[in-house]
Amino acid sequence: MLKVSNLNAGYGNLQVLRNISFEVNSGELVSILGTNGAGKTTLLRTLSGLISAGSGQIEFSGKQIQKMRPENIVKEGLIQVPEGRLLFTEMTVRENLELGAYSSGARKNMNKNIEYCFQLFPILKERENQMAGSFSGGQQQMLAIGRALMAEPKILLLDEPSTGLSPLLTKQVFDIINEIKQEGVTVLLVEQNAHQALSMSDRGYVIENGEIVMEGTAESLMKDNKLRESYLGLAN
Amino acid sequence: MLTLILQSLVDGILMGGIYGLVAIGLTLIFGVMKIINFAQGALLMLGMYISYWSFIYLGINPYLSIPLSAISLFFIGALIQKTILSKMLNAPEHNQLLVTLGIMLVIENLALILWSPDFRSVKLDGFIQTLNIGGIGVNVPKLIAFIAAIVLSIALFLFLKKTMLGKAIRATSINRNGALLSGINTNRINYIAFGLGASLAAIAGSLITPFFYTSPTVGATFILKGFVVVVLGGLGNFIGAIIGGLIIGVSEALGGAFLPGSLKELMTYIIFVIVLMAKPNGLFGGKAR
Repeated sequence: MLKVSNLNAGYGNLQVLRNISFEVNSGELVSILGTNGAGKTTLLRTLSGLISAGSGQIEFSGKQIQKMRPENIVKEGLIQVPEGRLLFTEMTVRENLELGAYSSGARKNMNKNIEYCFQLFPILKERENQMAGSFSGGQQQMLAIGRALMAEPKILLLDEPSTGLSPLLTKQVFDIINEIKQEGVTVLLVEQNAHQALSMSDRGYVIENGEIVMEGTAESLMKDNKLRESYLGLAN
Repeated sequence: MLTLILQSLVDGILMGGIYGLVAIGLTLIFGVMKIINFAQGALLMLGMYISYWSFIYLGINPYLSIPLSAISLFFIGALIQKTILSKMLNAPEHNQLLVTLGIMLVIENLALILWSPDFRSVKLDGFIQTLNIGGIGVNVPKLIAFIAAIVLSIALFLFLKKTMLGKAIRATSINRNGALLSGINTNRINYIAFGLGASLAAIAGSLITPFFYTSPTVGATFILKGFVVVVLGGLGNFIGAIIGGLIIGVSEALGGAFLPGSLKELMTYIIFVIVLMAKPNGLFGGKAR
Protein backbone atom coordinates (compact mmCIF):
# COMPACT_ATOMS: atom_id res chain seq x y z
CA MET A 1 0.00 0.00 0.00
CA LEU A 2 2.82 2.41 0.92
CA LYS A 3 6.21 1.89 -0.64
CA VAL A 4 9.07 4.28 0.02
CA SER A 5 12.20 3.88 -2.09
CA ASN A 6 15.57 5.59 -1.60
CA LEU A 7 14.01 8.64 0.02
CA ASN A 8 16.28 11.56 0.82
CA ALA A 9 14.93 14.65 2.56
CA GLY A 10 15.81 17.36 5.04
CA TYR A 11 15.57 21.03 5.89
CA GLY A 12 17.39 23.37 3.52
CA ASN A 13 20.96 22.18 3.26
CA LEU A 14 20.61 19.85 6.20
CA GLN A 15 19.98 16.32 5.03
CA VAL A 16 18.11 14.30 7.62
CA LEU A 17 16.86 11.22 5.80
CA ARG A 18 19.30 9.09 3.81
CA ASN A 19 18.14 6.48 1.35
CA ILE A 20 15.14 5.40 3.33
CA SER A 21 13.29 2.42 1.89
CA PHE A 22 10.45 0.55 3.51
CA GLU A 23 6.96 -0.63 2.80
CA VAL A 24 3.67 -1.11 4.55
CA ASN A 25 1.23 -3.64 3.17
CA SER A 26 -2.51 -3.28 3.28
CA GLY A 27 -3.94 -4.21 6.69
CA GLU A 28 -0.58 -4.24 8.45
CA LEU A 29 0.53 -2.40 11.54
CA VAL A 30 4.15 -1.43 11.02
CA SER A 31 6.33 0.33 13.57
CA ILE A 32 9.27 2.58 12.93
CA LEU A 33 11.44 2.77 16.00
CA GLY A 34 14.14 5.26 16.77
CA THR A 35 15.46 7.63 19.40
CA ASN A 36 15.03 11.38 19.50
CA GLY A 37 16.59 13.00 16.48
CA ALA A 38 16.78 9.81 14.45
CA GLY A 39 14.59 11.34 11.74
CA LYS A 40 11.23 9.76 12.56
CA THR A 41 9.25 12.99 12.55
CA THR A 42 11.05 14.25 9.44
CA LEU A 43 10.09 11.00 7.72
CA LEU A 44 6.41 11.42 8.54
CA ARG A 45 6.45 15.09 7.56
CA THR A 46 7.94 14.13 4.22
CA LEU A 47 5.34 11.42 3.67
CA SER A 48 2.58 13.98 4.30
CA GLY A 49 4.18 16.51 1.98
CA LEU A 50 5.01 19.12 4.64
CA ILE A 51 8.66 18.75 3.63
CA SER A 52 9.47 18.12 0.01
CA ALA A 53 11.43 15.01 -0.79
CA GLY A 54 14.88 15.74 -2.19
CA SER A 55 14.98 12.52 -4.16
CA GLY A 56 13.46 9.08 -4.08
CA GLN A 57 9.93 7.86 -4.46
CA ILE A 58 6.89 7.55 -2.28
CA GLU A 59 4.26 5.31 -3.82
CA PHE A 60 0.87 5.16 -2.17
CA SER A 61 -2.04 3.11 -3.51
CA GLY A 62 -0.28 2.88 -6.85
CA LYS A 63 0.35 6.65 -7.15
CA GLN A 64 3.56 8.62 -6.83
CA ILE A 65 2.85 11.15 -4.08
CA GLN A 66 6.28 12.66 -3.39
CA LYS A 67 5.46 15.80 -5.40
CA MET A 68 1.88 16.21 -4.21
CA ARG A 69 0.62 19.05 -2.01
CA PRO A 70 -0.26 18.05 1.58
CA GLU A 71 -4.00 18.56 1.09
CA ASN A 72 -3.99 16.25 -1.93
CA ILE A 73 -2.09 13.58 -0.03
CA VAL A 74 -4.85 13.76 2.58
CA LYS A 75 -7.40 13.29 -0.22
CA GLU A 76 -5.57 10.13 -1.28
CA GLY A 77 -6.15 8.74 2.21
CA LEU A 78 -2.73 9.08 3.85
CA ILE A 79 -3.54 10.74 7.14
CA GLN A 80 -1.19 11.71 9.93
CA VAL A 81 -1.63 12.24 13.65
CA PRO A 82 1.32 14.60 14.02
CA GLU A 83 3.82 15.10 16.77
CA GLY A 84 2.51 17.75 19.14
CA ARG A 85 -1.00 16.98 17.84
CA LEU A 86 -1.36 20.37 16.11
CA LEU A 87 -4.97 20.73 17.21
CA PHE A 88 -7.06 23.84 16.62
CA THR A 89 -6.82 24.81 20.26
CA GLU A 90 -9.19 27.77 20.19
CA MET A 91 -11.93 25.76 18.52
CA THR A 92 -14.34 23.25 20.00
CA VAL A 93 -13.89 19.49 19.97
CA ARG A 94 -16.68 19.13 17.46
CA GLU A 95 -15.17 21.77 15.17
CA ASN A 96 -11.82 20.00 15.29
CA LEU A 97 -13.50 16.77 14.26
CA GLU A 98 -15.49 18.48 11.50
CA LEU A 99 -12.32 19.96 10.06
CA GLY A 100 -10.78 16.50 9.97
CA ALA A 101 -13.41 15.73 7.34
CA TYR A 102 -12.58 18.82 5.25
CA SER A 103 -11.57 16.80 2.19
CA SER A 104 -14.35 16.44 -0.35
CA GLY A 105 -14.44 12.66 -0.10
CA ALA A 106 -14.79 12.46 3.66
CA ARG A 107 -17.23 15.33 4.07
CA LYS A 108 -20.36 13.47 3.09
CA ASN A 109 -19.89 10.95 5.91
CA MET A 110 -19.00 13.63 8.46
CA ASN A 111 -21.86 13.15 10.90
CA LYS A 112 -21.64 9.37 10.79
CA ASN A 113 -17.91 9.52 11.44
CA ILE A 114 -18.31 11.98 14.31
CA GLU A 115 -20.63 9.43 15.96
CA TYR A 116 -17.97 6.75 15.38
CA CYS A 117 -15.33 8.95 17.06
CA PHE A 118 -17.65 9.58 19.99
CA GLN A 119 -18.11 5.82 20.35
CA LEU A 120 -14.36 5.29 20.28
CA PHE A 121 -13.68 8.19 22.67
CA PRO A 122 -16.72 8.82 24.89
CA ILE A 123 -14.83 11.66 26.61
CA LEU A 124 -14.99 13.64 23.36
CA LYS A 125 -18.76 13.44 23.29
CA GLU A 126 -19.01 14.63 26.87
CA ARG A 127 -16.91 17.65 25.99
CA GLU A 128 -17.82 18.26 22.40
CA ASN A 129 -18.39 21.99 22.94
CA GLN A 130 -15.24 22.64 24.95
CA MET A 131 -12.16 24.23 23.46
CA ALA A 132 -9.55 21.70 22.43
CA GLY A 133 -6.87 23.78 24.16
CA SER A 134 -8.45 23.16 27.56
CA PHE A 135 -7.79 19.42 27.29
CA SER A 136 -5.16 17.33 29.04
CA GLY A 137 -2.45 15.64 26.98
CA GLY A 138 -4.26 12.30 26.82
CA GLN A 139 -7.53 13.87 25.74
CA GLN A 140 -5.73 15.95 23.13
CA GLN A 141 -4.14 12.80 21.75
CA MET A 142 -7.55 11.16 21.52
CA LEU A 143 -8.95 14.21 19.75
CA ALA A 144 -5.99 14.23 17.36
CA ILE A 145 -6.60 10.57 16.52
CA GLY A 146 -10.31 11.28 16.16
CA ARG A 147 -9.65 14.20 13.83
CA ALA A 148 -7.42 11.97 11.68
CA LEU A 149 -10.06 9.23 11.54
CA MET A 150 -12.57 11.80 10.30
CA ALA A 151 -10.61 11.92 7.05
CA GLU A 152 -11.35 8.22 6.47
CA PRO A 153 -7.72 7.12 6.27
CA LYS A 154 -6.56 4.24 4.16
CA ILE A 155 -3.34 4.46 6.11
CA LEU A 156 -2.99 6.18 9.46
CA LEU A 157 0.43 7.57 10.42
CA LEU A 158 0.95 8.14 14.13
CA ASP A 159 3.91 10.17 15.37
CA GLU A 160 4.75 9.11 18.92
CA PRO A 161 1.22 8.93 20.25
CA SER A 162 2.50 7.96 23.70
CA THR A 163 4.60 11.09 24.25
CA GLY A 164 3.77 12.79 27.51
CA LEU A 165 1.12 10.28 28.50
CA SER A 166 0.97 8.26 31.70
CA PRO A 167 1.47 4.48 31.33
CA LEU A 168 -2.25 3.94 31.81
CA LEU A 169 -3.18 6.46 29.12
CA THR A 170 -0.51 5.09 26.82
CA LYS A 171 -2.08 1.66 27.12
CA GLN A 172 -5.50 3.15 26.38
CA VAL A 173 -4.20 4.91 23.28
CA PHE A 174 -2.45 1.76 22.06
CA ASP A 175 -5.63 -0.26 22.63
CA ILE A 176 -7.49 2.22 20.46
CA ILE A 177 -4.83 1.96 17.75
CA ASN A 178 -5.26 -1.81 17.83
CA GLU A 179 -9.00 -1.38 17.52
CA ILE A 180 -8.52 0.93 14.52
CA LYS A 181 -6.33 -1.70 12.92
CA GLN A 182 -9.00 -4.36 13.51
CA GLU A 183 -11.40 -2.10 11.62
CA GLY A 184 -9.16 -2.59 8.60
CA VAL A 185 -7.13 0.60 8.64
CA THR A 186 -3.45 0.17 7.80
CA VAL A 187 -1.27 1.77 10.47
CA LEU A 188 2.26 3.14 10.44
CA LEU A 189 3.35 3.81 14.00
CA VAL A 190 6.43 5.83 14.84
CA GLU A 191 7.58 5.33 18.41
CA GLN A 192 10.39 5.49 20.92
CA ASN A 193 8.41 3.18 23.14
CA ALA A 194 9.76 0.11 21.32
CA HIS A 195 8.40 -2.63 23.52
CA GLN A 196 4.81 -1.50 23.48
CA ALA A 197 4.92 -0.64 19.79
CA LEU A 198 6.40 -3.97 18.73
CA SER A 199 4.05 -5.98 20.91
CA MET A 200 1.15 -4.92 18.69
CA SER A 201 2.97 -4.63 15.35
CA ASP A 202 3.28 -7.05 12.49
CA ARG A 203 6.65 -5.74 11.39
CA GLY A 204 9.11 -3.08 12.38
CA TYR A 205 11.98 -0.94 11.17
CA VAL A 206 14.66 0.75 13.22
CA ILE A 207 15.87 4.15 12.12
CA GLU A 208 19.16 5.69 13.28
CA ASN A 209 20.70 8.94 12.04
CA GLY A 210 18.24 9.07 9.20
CA GLU A 211 18.91 5.57 7.95
CA ILE A 212 17.05 2.32 8.31
CA VAL A 213 19.46 0.06 10.17
CA MET A 214 17.29 -2.92 10.98
CA GLU A 215 14.06 -4.47 9.86
CA GLY A 216 12.06 -7.59 10.45
CA THR A 217 8.95 -9.08 11.93
CA ALA A 218 7.97 -7.76 15.32
CA GLU A 219 8.88 -11.10 16.91
CA SER A 220 12.35 -11.24 15.43
CA LEU A 221 13.05 -7.64 16.43
CA MET A 222 11.91 -8.30 19.98
CA LYS A 223 14.45 -11.12 20.18
CA ASP A 224 17.27 -9.16 18.59
CA ASN A 225 20.03 -8.61 21.12
CA LYS A 226 21.18 -5.25 19.84
CA LEU A 227 17.67 -3.88 19.85
CA ARG A 228 16.99 -5.36 23.28
CA GLU A 229 19.96 -3.48 24.65
CA SER A 230 19.48 -0.16 23.00
CA TYR A 231 15.70 0.20 22.90
CA LEU A 232 14.07 -2.21 25.23
CA GLY A 233 16.47 -1.62 28.10
CA LEU A 234 16.88 -5.33 28.60
CA ALA A 235 20.24 -6.93 29.26
CA ASN A 236 20.94 -10.28 27.72
CA MET B 1 -23.29 71.25 26.74
CA LEU B 2 -25.17 67.99 27.10
CA THR B 3 -26.36 68.26 23.52
CA LEU B 4 -22.80 68.76 22.38
CA ILE B 5 -21.64 65.65 24.23
CA LEU B 6 -24.53 63.61 22.92
CA GLN B 7 -23.94 64.92 19.42
CA SER B 8 -20.26 63.96 19.62
CA LEU B 9 -21.16 60.55 20.98
CA VAL B 10 -23.52 59.91 18.08
CA ASP B 11 -21.01 61.14 15.49
CA GLY B 12 -18.25 59.11 17.09
CA ILE B 13 -20.20 55.89 17.29
CA LEU B 14 -21.26 56.18 13.65
CA MET B 15 -17.70 56.80 12.49
CA GLY B 16 -16.45 54.09 14.85
CA GLY B 17 -18.41 51.48 12.94
CA ILE B 18 -16.41 52.32 9.80
CA TYR B 19 -13.11 52.18 11.69
CA GLY B 20 -14.22 48.81 13.00
CA LEU B 21 -14.90 47.57 9.47
CA VAL B 22 -11.44 48.63 8.27
CA ALA B 23 -9.92 47.02 11.35
CA ILE B 24 -11.77 43.73 10.86
CA GLY B 25 -10.17 43.40 7.44
CA LEU B 26 -6.75 44.03 8.95
CA THR B 27 -7.38 41.57 11.75
CA LEU B 28 -8.61 38.85 9.39
CA ILE B 29 -5.49 39.15 7.23
CA PHE B 30 -3.21 39.25 10.25
CA GLY B 31 -4.94 36.30 11.88
CA VAL B 32 -4.56 34.02 8.89
CA MET B 33 -1.24 35.11 7.42
CA LYS B 34 0.47 36.95 10.29
CA ILE B 35 1.04 39.79 7.83
CA ILE B 36 0.41 43.39 8.76
CA ASN B 37 -1.21 44.85 5.70
CA PHE B 38 -0.19 48.47 5.22
CA ALA B 39 -2.01 48.51 1.89
CA GLN B 40 -5.43 48.22 3.58
CA GLY B 41 -5.97 51.99 3.36
CA ALA B 42 -5.01 52.04 -0.31
CA LEU B 43 -7.49 49.24 -0.99
CA LEU B 44 -10.16 51.29 0.77
CA MET B 45 -9.24 54.20 -1.51
CA LEU B 46 -9.71 51.99 -4.58
CA GLY B 47 -13.16 51.05 -3.28
CA MET B 48 -13.97 54.76 -2.94
CA TYR B 49 -12.89 55.49 -6.51
CA ILE B 50 -14.90 52.59 -7.89
CA SER B 51 -17.99 54.05 -6.25
CA TYR B 52 -17.04 57.60 -7.24
CA TRP B 53 -16.49 56.84 -10.93
CA SER B 54 -19.57 54.61 -11.06
CA PHE B 55 -21.51 57.61 -9.79
CA ILE B 56 -19.93 60.13 -12.14
CA TYR B 57 -19.99 58.12 -15.34
CA LEU B 58 -22.86 55.72 -14.85
CA GLY B 59 -24.96 57.63 -12.37
CA ILE B 60 -24.99 54.68 -10.00
CA ASN B 61 -25.75 55.53 -6.40
CA PRO B 62 -22.65 54.69 -4.28
CA TYR B 63 -24.67 52.30 -2.16
CA LEU B 64 -25.58 50.31 -5.26
CA SER B 65 -21.98 50.08 -6.44
CA ILE B 66 -20.93 48.35 -3.20
CA PRO B 67 -21.14 44.85 -4.73
CA LEU B 68 -19.01 46.00 -7.66
CA SER B 69 -16.34 47.48 -5.42
CA ALA B 70 -16.46 44.51 -3.02
CA ILE B 71 -16.07 41.92 -5.76
CA SER B 72 -13.41 43.86 -7.70
CA LEU B 73 -11.30 44.33 -4.61
CA PHE B 74 -11.74 40.70 -3.59
CA PHE B 75 -10.04 39.70 -6.82
CA ILE B 76 -7.42 42.46 -6.62
CA GLY B 77 -6.66 41.31 -3.08
CA ALA B 78 -6.44 37.66 -4.06
CA LEU B 79 -4.19 38.63 -6.96
CA ILE B 80 -1.85 40.62 -4.70
CA GLN B 81 -1.69 37.60 -2.41
CA LYS B 82 -1.06 35.18 -5.24
CA THR B 83 1.55 37.18 -7.12
CA ILE B 84 3.44 38.98 -4.38
CA LEU B 85 2.66 38.02 -0.80
CA SER B 86 2.65 34.26 -1.32
CA LYS B 87 6.35 34.55 -2.07
CA MET B 88 6.88 36.39 1.21
CA LEU B 89 5.03 34.15 3.65
CA ASN B 90 8.17 32.66 5.15
CA ALA B 91 10.16 35.88 5.07
CA PRO B 92 11.00 37.79 8.25
CA GLU B 93 8.16 39.99 9.49
CA HIS B 94 9.86 43.31 8.81
CA ASN B 95 10.34 42.31 5.18
CA GLN B 96 6.66 41.44 4.84
CA LEU B 97 5.85 44.79 6.36
CA LEU B 98 8.01 46.57 3.80
CA VAL B 99 6.33 44.69 0.98
CA THR B 100 2.82 45.70 2.01
CA LEU B 101 4.10 49.25 2.50
CA GLY B 102 5.50 49.10 -1.03
CA ILE B 103 2.19 47.84 -2.40
CA MET B 104 0.48 50.77 -0.69
CA LEU B 105 2.89 53.28 -2.27
CA VAL B 106 2.46 51.79 -5.71
CA ILE B 107 -1.34 51.83 -5.53
CA GLU B 108 -1.48 55.36 -4.12
CA ASN B 109 0.92 56.78 -6.68
CA LEU B 110 -0.83 55.03 -9.53
CA ALA B 111 -4.01 56.68 -8.31
CA LEU B 112 -2.25 60.05 -8.19
CA ILE B 113 -1.10 59.65 -11.78
CA LEU B 114 -4.40 58.36 -13.07
CA TRP B 115 -6.83 60.49 -11.14
CA SER B 116 -4.80 63.53 -9.93
CA PRO B 117 -4.56 64.54 -6.28
CA ASP B 118 -7.89 66.42 -6.42
CA PHE B 119 -10.35 65.97 -3.62
CA ARG B 120 -13.62 64.82 -5.09
CA SER B 121 -17.01 64.30 -3.58
CA VAL B 122 -20.29 62.73 -4.51
CA LYS B 123 -23.39 64.91 -4.24
CA LEU B 124 -26.48 62.83 -3.73
CA ASP B 125 -29.55 64.85 -4.73
CA GLY B 126 -32.94 64.34 -3.17
CA PHE B 127 -31.40 62.50 -0.27
CA ILE B 128 -32.15 63.44 3.32
CA GLN B 129 -28.77 64.36 4.76
CA THR B 130 -29.64 64.79 8.40
CA LEU B 131 -32.29 63.45 10.73
CA ASN B 132 -33.11 65.53 13.76
CA ILE B 133 -33.73 63.38 16.79
CA GLY B 134 -34.40 65.35 19.96
CA GLY B 135 -32.10 68.17 18.95
CA ILE B 136 -29.32 65.86 17.88
CA GLY B 137 -28.47 65.73 14.22
CA VAL B 138 -27.88 62.26 12.84
CA ASN B 139 -26.03 62.28 9.53
CA VAL B 140 -27.95 59.81 7.36
CA PRO B 141 -25.07 58.56 5.16
CA LYS B 142 -23.03 57.97 8.30
CA LEU B 143 -25.94 56.14 9.88
CA ILE B 144 -26.27 53.93 6.82
CA ALA B 145 -22.53 53.26 6.84
CA PHE B 146 -22.67 52.39 10.52
CA ILE B 147 -25.59 50.00 10.16
CA ALA B 148 -23.97 48.36 7.14
CA ALA B 149 -20.70 47.98 9.05
CA ILE B 150 -22.43 46.29 11.96
CA VAL B 151 -24.50 44.00 9.74
CA LEU B 152 -21.42 43.07 7.75
CA SER B 153 -19.42 42.32 10.89
CA ILE B 154 -22.15 40.04 12.16
CA ALA B 155 -22.38 38.31 8.78
CA LEU B 156 -18.64 37.77 8.70
CA PHE B 157 -18.69 36.48 12.26
CA LEU B 158 -21.40 33.95 11.39
CA PHE B 159 -19.53 32.96 8.23
CA LEU B 160 -16.41 32.19 10.27
CA LYS B 161 -18.39 30.37 12.97
CA LYS B 162 -20.86 28.35 10.94
CA THR B 163 -19.54 27.47 7.51
CA MET B 164 -16.89 24.87 6.70
CA LEU B 165 -14.88 27.45 4.75
CA GLY B 166 -15.07 29.88 7.67
CA LYS B 167 -13.94 27.19 10.08
CA ALA B 168 -11.08 26.32 7.75
CA ILE B 169 -10.01 29.99 7.79
CA ARG B 170 -10.01 29.99 11.59
CA ALA B 171 -8.22 26.63 11.69
CA THR B 172 -5.50 27.93 9.37
CA SER B 173 -5.01 30.98 11.57
CA ILE B 174 -4.66 28.79 14.67
CA ASN B 175 -2.41 26.07 13.30
CA ARG B 176 -1.26 26.11 9.69
CA ASN B 177 0.37 22.64 9.68
CA GLY B 178 -2.57 21.16 11.53
CA ALA B 179 -4.80 22.60 8.81
CA LEU B 180 -2.62 21.19 6.03
CA LEU B 181 -2.71 17.74 7.63
CA SER B 182 -6.51 17.99 7.82
CA GLY B 183 -6.64 18.41 4.06
CA ILE B 184 -7.17 22.18 4.02
CA ASN B 185 -5.59 23.94 1.05
CA THR B 186 -3.99 26.73 3.05
CA ASN B 187 -2.78 28.59 -0.05
CA ARG B 188 -6.37 28.91 -1.13
CA ILE B 189 -7.32 30.05 2.38
CA ASN B 190 -4.67 32.78 2.07
CA TYR B 191 -6.21 34.09 -1.17
CA ILE B 192 -9.65 34.04 0.33
CA ALA B 193 -8.56 35.75 3.54
CA PHE B 194 -6.65 38.49 1.74
CA GLY B 195 -9.45 38.86 -0.78
CA LEU B 196 -12.03 39.17 1.99
CA GLY B 197 -9.85 41.66 3.86
CA ALA B 198 -9.50 43.79 0.72
CA SER B 199 -13.22 43.44 0.09
CA LEU B 200 -14.04 44.73 3.57
CA ALA B 201 -11.79 47.74 2.99
CA ALA B 202 -13.52 48.39 -0.34
CA ILE B 203 -16.97 48.18 1.21
CA ALA B 204 -15.89 50.62 3.90
CA GLY B 205 -14.62 52.88 1.11
CA SER B 206 -17.86 52.76 -0.83
CA LEU B 207 -19.88 53.37 2.31
CA ILE B 208 -18.00 56.58 3.14
CA THR B 209 -17.99 57.96 -0.41
CA PRO B 210 -21.25 59.89 0.17
CA PHE B 211 -19.79 61.88 3.09
CA PHE B 212 -16.02 61.74 2.77
CA TYR B 213 -13.70 63.30 0.22
CA THR B 214 -12.31 60.85 -2.29
CA SER B 215 -8.61 61.33 -3.01
CA PRO B 216 -5.60 59.10 -3.69
CA THR B 217 -4.18 59.64 -0.20
CA VAL B 218 -7.41 59.21 1.75
CA GLY B 219 -6.28 55.74 2.86
CA ALA B 220 -3.66 57.14 5.23
CA THR B 221 -6.37 58.56 7.51
CA PHE B 222 -7.96 55.17 7.85
CA ILE B 223 -4.97 52.89 7.95
CA LEU B 224 -3.53 54.65 10.99
CA LYS B 225 -6.87 54.52 12.80
CA GLY B 226 -7.26 50.93 11.66
CA PHE B 227 -3.99 49.92 13.28
CA VAL B 228 -4.80 51.74 16.49
CA VAL B 229 -8.18 50.00 16.58
CA VAL B 230 -6.73 46.59 15.89
CA VAL B 231 -4.07 46.91 18.56
CA LEU B 232 -6.55 48.39 21.02
CA GLY B 233 -8.99 45.53 20.52
CA GLY B 234 -6.34 42.80 20.48
CA LEU B 235 -4.76 41.55 17.26
CA GLY B 236 -6.82 38.89 15.57
CA ASN B 237 -9.93 39.60 17.62
CA PHE B 238 -13.15 40.48 15.76
CA ILE B 239 -15.29 41.73 18.61
CA GLY B 240 -12.27 43.68 19.82
CA ALA B 241 -11.98 45.36 16.43
CA ILE B 242 -15.58 46.59 16.54
CA ILE B 243 -15.41 47.80 20.15
CA GLY B 244 -11.99 49.32 19.48
CA GLY B 245 -13.47 51.11 16.48
CA LEU B 246 -16.26 52.56 18.57
CA ILE B 247 -13.84 53.71 21.29
CA ILE B 248 -11.60 55.43 18.75
CA GLY B 249 -14.58 56.97 16.94
CA VAL B 250 -16.07 58.38 20.13
CA SER B 251 -12.81 59.63 21.60
CA GLU B 252 -12.00 61.34 18.33
CA ALA B 253 -15.40 63.03 18.16
CA LEU B 254 -15.23 64.16 21.79
CA GLY B 255 -11.69 65.38 21.25
CA GLY B 256 -12.88 67.31 18.22
CA ALA B 257 -15.63 68.93 20.23
CA PHE B 258 -13.65 69.96 23.28
CA LEU B 259 -10.03 70.36 22.25
CA PRO B 260 -8.54 72.91 19.88
CA GLY B 261 -8.48 71.68 16.30
CA SER B 262 -4.86 70.65 16.14
CA LEU B 263 -5.18 68.62 19.33
CA LYS B 264 -8.37 66.79 18.51
CA GLU B 265 -6.66 63.45 18.13
CA LEU B 266 -4.84 63.80 21.42
CA MET B 267 -7.60 62.03 23.29
CA THR B 268 -7.56 59.07 20.92
CA TYR B 269 -3.91 58.43 21.50
CA ILE B 270 -4.02 59.08 25.23
CA ILE B 271 -6.68 56.41 25.51
CA PHE B 272 -4.62 54.16 23.29
CA VAL B 273 -1.53 54.51 25.48
CA ILE B 274 -3.46 54.05 28.72
CA VAL B 275 -5.16 50.88 27.47
CA LEU B 276 -1.89 49.40 26.31
CA MET B 277 -0.21 50.21 29.60
CA ALA B 278 -2.95 48.35 31.45
CA LYS B 279 -3.48 45.57 28.89
CA PRO B 280 -0.46 45.18 26.61
CA ASN B 281 -2.27 42.60 24.46
CA GLY B 282 -5.22 44.87 23.84
CA LEU B 283 -8.65 44.92 25.45
CA PHE B 284 -9.66 41.51 24.18
CA GLY B 285 -6.22 40.12 23.47
CA GLY B 286 -5.61 36.70 24.90
CA LYS B 287 -2.28 35.43 26.04
CA ALA B 288 0.78 36.70 24.25
CA ARG B 289 1.82 34.34 21.50
